[in-house]
Amino acid sequence: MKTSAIAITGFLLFGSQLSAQTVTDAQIASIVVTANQVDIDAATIALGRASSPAVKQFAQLMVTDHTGVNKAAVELATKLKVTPQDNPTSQALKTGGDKHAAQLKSLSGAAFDRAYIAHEVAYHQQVLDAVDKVLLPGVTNAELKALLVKVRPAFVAHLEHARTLQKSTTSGH
Amino acid sequence: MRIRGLRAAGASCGLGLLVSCAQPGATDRPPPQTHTVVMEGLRFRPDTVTVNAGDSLVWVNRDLVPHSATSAVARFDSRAIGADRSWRVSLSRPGDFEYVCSFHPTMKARVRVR
Repeated sequence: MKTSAIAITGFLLFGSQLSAQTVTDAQIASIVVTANQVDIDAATIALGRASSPAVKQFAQLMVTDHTGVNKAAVELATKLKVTPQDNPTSQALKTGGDKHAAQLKSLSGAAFDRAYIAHEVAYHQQVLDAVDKVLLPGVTNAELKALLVKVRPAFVAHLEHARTLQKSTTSGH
Repeated sequence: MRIRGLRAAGASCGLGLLVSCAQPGATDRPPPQTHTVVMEGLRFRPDTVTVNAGDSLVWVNRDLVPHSATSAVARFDSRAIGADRSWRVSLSRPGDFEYVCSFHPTMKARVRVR
């Protein structure tokens, strides 16, 4: 319940900050990098505290995949001479990530697995909504748009993977 | 290439000898070919590929995240293929094999070896 409340609060906060009409490419770059880093940070905690091997494996995948996406995003921003610009949305992502990390650090065992995976489901859905409703409609640079299009299927796959794990973590290992 | 080769054999041997001339043999067997499967958008494209025994398959990763081509039944495992990297295997055992990306359970495909 606590996890769901935080996830929903995070979703509302994230969603309320975004507008396809006002977001710039520099802000989009910052949002992409921050969104990936927040998930890497949560996964890093999960690697140390998760009890289920399947959850640990998922966490390792999140570290690997989101690190790969961030590497590509930073390389592209450097190439385009776009400096990622901090903005209310990236700040909200960071704040939400910090709160979630603090909550995760207070949990262990099966309770940790459930909280981590529940948040991963909510978070990936939230990021996908942002990609579809704000980032893709708002981006102007073609290469940055191509990057968003290219990474979207990974977020979809992560969401499906997390949902599958959620079924097993809620029904017991 | 193969059809053109058989027609040429039939023409040179005459109709009465066509069957024996066209029987599979070392000289008639097509040379091993290389088939490519692209990993892109968290999918294998094509998701079904048919090859002859002895052909090679190359998986090319066009995604930003690592993938693998893994089949316990066909006994191959590329392990992690990084972004813009590829991996090749030669398949000699006939059969119909499913394979997956061991990292992304939603990625599934099939290779048929004739």
